Order: sequence, then structure tokens, then C-alpha cells
Amino acid sequence: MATETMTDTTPETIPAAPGAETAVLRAEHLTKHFKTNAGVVKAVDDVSFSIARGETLALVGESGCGKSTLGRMAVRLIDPTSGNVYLDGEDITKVKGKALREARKKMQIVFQDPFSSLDPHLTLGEIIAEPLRAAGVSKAEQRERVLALMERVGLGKEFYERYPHQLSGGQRQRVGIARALAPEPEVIVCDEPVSALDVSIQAQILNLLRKLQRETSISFLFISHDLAVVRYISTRICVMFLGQLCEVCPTPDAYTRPLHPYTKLLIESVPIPDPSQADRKRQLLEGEIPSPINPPAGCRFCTRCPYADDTCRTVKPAMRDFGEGRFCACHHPLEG
Amino acid sequence: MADENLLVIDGLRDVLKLKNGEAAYPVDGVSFTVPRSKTVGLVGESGCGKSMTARTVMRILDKGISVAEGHITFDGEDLLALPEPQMRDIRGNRIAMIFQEPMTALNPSISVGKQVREAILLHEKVSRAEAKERVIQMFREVGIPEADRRYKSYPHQLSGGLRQRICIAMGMICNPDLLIADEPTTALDVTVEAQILELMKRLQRESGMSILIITHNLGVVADICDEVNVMYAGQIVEHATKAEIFNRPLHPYTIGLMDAIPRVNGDMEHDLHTIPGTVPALGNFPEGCRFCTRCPFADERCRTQAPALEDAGDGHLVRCFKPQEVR
Repeated sequence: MATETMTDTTPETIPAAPGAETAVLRAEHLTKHFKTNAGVVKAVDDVSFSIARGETLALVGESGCGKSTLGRMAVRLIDPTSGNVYLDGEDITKVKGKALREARKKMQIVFQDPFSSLDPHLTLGEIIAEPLRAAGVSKAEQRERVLALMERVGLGKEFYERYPHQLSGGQRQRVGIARALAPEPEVIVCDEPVSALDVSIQAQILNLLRKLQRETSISFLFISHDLAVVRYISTRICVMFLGQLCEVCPTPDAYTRPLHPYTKLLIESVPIPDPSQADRKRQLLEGEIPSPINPPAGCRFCTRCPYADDTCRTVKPAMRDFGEGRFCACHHPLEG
Repeated sequence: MADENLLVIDGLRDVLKLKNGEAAYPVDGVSFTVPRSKTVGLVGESGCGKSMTARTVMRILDKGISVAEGHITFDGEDLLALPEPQMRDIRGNRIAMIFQEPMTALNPSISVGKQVREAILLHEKVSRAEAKERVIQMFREVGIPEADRRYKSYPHQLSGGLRQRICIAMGMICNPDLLIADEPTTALDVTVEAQILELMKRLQRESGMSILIITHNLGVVADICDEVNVMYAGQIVEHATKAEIFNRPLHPYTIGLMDAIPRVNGDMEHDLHTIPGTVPALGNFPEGCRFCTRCPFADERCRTQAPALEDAGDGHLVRCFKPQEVR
């Protein structure tokens, strides 16, 4: 089979980060299929990645590309159809009960919507203490640790007794972050944590995440559609299209020397807040994302790609190693 | 009557009756103009009153909110004084509006073609067949593939980008003089956003319509606007041409916004600039300058006196006692 011979690098050989040996979280061949009335949605199809200690790995792509599903599988919020998740080298794909609870202490998630992800009946103190209570921390210690966490995320003591509805969006997101930090996790999945926030508040939260990472060696899987935000926060970028990764590279490379045509088009589409750039030459992407029920054969991007030829339409491109931590699945990469 | 300004908003003040019987002013003394064939941006964060200003122009305010003061003049006519039947002739016909969420702006139980056709039948005396032809033609113009087939589609069968194109087609079908676009690309992916902005620019070139675009995204402003009004807490705090606002922002809030956005071509090493605190709640605006609680330059005067919107030269207006020129 042509597809077989194309595979000169299998995806799982992608190292955590250039020079980094220890992957905190590793996903291998993760696949998630959802059965719907219209057919089987291949939300995530054979995706592998790993996150090193202290690293922020960004997962970018347009709506419906499967990035949130992938993020949720990575922390066992949904079970993969196939594939494995490793936490500190241990396979946690199938663990249950106590072992799962132990694993969950090490991996947390912050959601996009700070309005729907906090229990409206609980005070902030109780919300942030929940993971601690679940971990069996004593009442007195809970309070102490919650107050310390609140201070770390920039919430004053006066918020301890307040309820979520009394807070602004930015403050709620700080609560979500404090709650995620409570069990002292090794990795936090941040699923579009700033997309629901205003610009001035967004900057506060991004700076907070950066500060937290400087203070500890926590790792983030940062899911976002906003390429400007991602550039600012991440160490490496995984670009996802229709359930598959098309490029993985150190963050600056995605902007200065992208390999995959989709990466380049995605970045060129971002409106730049500078009028002198308004008339810059940019290629507009034709059409829209194809259905994940019937993805195109061959390269999934082929229906929108300006460089697509017959090979692209029939043969699925393999993830290839371009050196310096750059990987790309494309028959006609923009380099080499 | 060939006024160069198609739309003139003068001292607009919207009043909202609060539950405790008090009144709040989500739009508080807003004045600006939309020149013919130009695109004017209304920029600000959630709750600043930008959408409500637009809805006041369309006279589609929610219950409980009404215009307390001010005038809106459209092509020489006083919109706020018009009886509702006449307003209905203007709405959707000479002034069209597109919304942020194209899913909720469309009727889920009527095919998109029929919905757009309705706009023609409402405002013009043409046959149904002729109207349908025009809808399909307009679908093609806004870049809807397979326009004939899409005519029969229902909103849920279309992607977000296609739905927004339908809304734009609906807005454009009666060849409006003014298109009001309220966050038209916020719900869309960047690749689709770029397509929609290109489309709006092309339609403007071809038809000569004016556009009032409401957005929080300064990237969109840089892409499409000729003039910009920055709003904060119900007031315009700065007005200038696009080039001026980006090259010489004067209001500390505008400067703060500019510095707070991460950019695809920006500095990654340093922390982002932030505006401390949060937007004051409606009915709870600080005394004096409304931005004083978050402003790094605020002094005693800022906290006690309200600055007026004043010309800082060449029509660049700013509402600040200490317009900053730190850049």
C-alpha cells in the first residue's frame, strides 16, 4: 500500500520537546468516534502528542476540528475509542476507581465558559476546596490552602464567601484556575480559557498563566482557536485539522516558517491590529471545513488547499520529521 | 440634501429602568457620524453600550429601555420622530443589520431562501418568481456555493460561515444605504472571518453603502474601518481616523486596549500590558471620569470632574484631562 511506504516517521516518535526527555502526558494514536444519526463522526483520528514538564503545548484549529475532544480524552473526561494516554509514563487509559482518582489529582482542566463551569450554589471557598476535600485534606488545612490559592490567582480574601454570580467573567476564570491548581496537578488542560473574556481581562489571565508556570513546573495543554494568544503563551504548537494533526513545531516556527499550507493560511487569516497591514497580501482560504462524517480521502485538507494534486486527494500524508522539532503531514510542505 | 454624513447621532442617551426604581444610562451622551460610503467602527468591551447604540438606530430596543435624549438623523430624516410604519419602510430596506450569532438571527423553520425573499416582498412590489431570482443572484454574490440548492436549505443545515453569508445576503438584498454589522465575525473561525470581511469590503465598493461595524476586535477595525469610535461605560472616549487611532492613540483606555492584545507579530518575551480591574457595572459608574478607577494617570480632578469629548487637533476627539502621547 502506498500509504504504508509513505510512513517514514510514525507519529509517536515525536519527542516531547526538543531536548526534553520527560513527558508528563503522552497520547498515542488517540481516536474518538461519535455515533450520530447522520453517521459516524470521526472527531479525533489517530492523534499522538506529548507534553514535557513545564511546557505549554498549544492545540490550535478551527471549530469542529476535534481539539476539545482531544483535550478531554487526554485527561480522561471522555474515553477514547482507541489509543492510549500515559501520565508520568503510566498507562491511564483504562484505570478505574482509586487509581483514576489518583491520576486525576495530577491532571486538571479549566473550561472556556466561566459562567457554566462553576456551581452556582457553592461559595468560591467551597468551589476551590472541592478537589482538596476529594483528596481527603482536613477542613482547617482546606481553608488555608484555598486562601493561598486565591492569593496566587489574584483574588482577595473577601471573595472567599462570595458566589459565582457576584463575579465578573475574569474573576470567575481566576476561580476556575485556582480550583484546577488546588490538587497541585502536573498538567492542566486549558480549553479556550480566555475566549469568553474581554481583551483587557484576557491579558490579565494570560499573564497569570505565564506567572504560574514560571513559579512551578506545571505543564499546560492550551486549546485555542486564537493564534495571537497561542503565540504568546505556548512553547510548541500542534495544528489540528478535521480530527488530525497536520503540523507540530516550536511556536515561533509556526509563524515565521510554517511547513503545512494550512498553518500558513490560518496565520495569515488573523486580522492584525495595524492599519499598515490591512492591505497585506494574503491568500484567502476557499470554502469551509469538510464534514468529519465524510472526510476527504487522502489529505483531509485537500479540498481547501491551493497546492492539492491527485496524490493529495488519494494518499494520506504521513507525519514526517523536518528536524529541530518540526513535524508536518503534507505531500507538498512549504519547505524541503 | 446631499449631506456628506448619512447618519448623524447627536447626544443619544438611552435610559434603562432598574428594578429598584432607579434609572441607568447604558448609552450616555453618544454623538458620532457615519459618512456616506465609509465604514465606521464602534469599539469597546462588553457592556460599553456599543450594541445598544446600534439597536437604537434600528429602533429595536428591548422592553424597558428607551431613548431619553438625543437625535438620530438618517439621510436628513429624524429617525426617532418617525412613526413606526415609516420606520418599518426604512428598517431592512434602507438600513439593514446583521448580528453576531447568525443562528439565532435566522428563523429555524423557514428555508433560508424564503427568509431572504421575504425582505424583498415586504419592501417592493415584485412577483415571487422575480424575487426568488434576485435572492439566488444575491446568494451568488455573497459567495454561497450552489446558490440554487441552498435556497431550499434550512439554517441548521448550514455552517456558521454560510449562515452569516445568508444574513449578509438578507441585509444586502434591498440595497441598503447603511449596513449595521454587530460583531459580524466574532462567532466565526479566522479563515471564515477573513472571507466575510473581504466580502463586506467588496459589497461596499460595488454599492457605495455605508457600514457601521460594532466590534471588540481591533484587528477587524484595522482591516475594514475608515473611522473609529472607542466606547467605554456608555460614552465615546475617543474618535479618530483609523490611522490616527492606531498611530496616535490618546485616551489611556485606547492605549491600554492596544497594548493588551496579543499579536501574531508581537513581542513574546514580556508580559502583556493589562488594564487593572474590570469595567464598572451599569448604574455604578465612578464619579468624574468613568475610566478613573482603572487609569494609571488618574488624579484628583479625574476622580471628581467628568471630562468632555474635546478636539485634540484635526478632528481627533478625546475625553480625557490628560490625553496621553506616550507613544
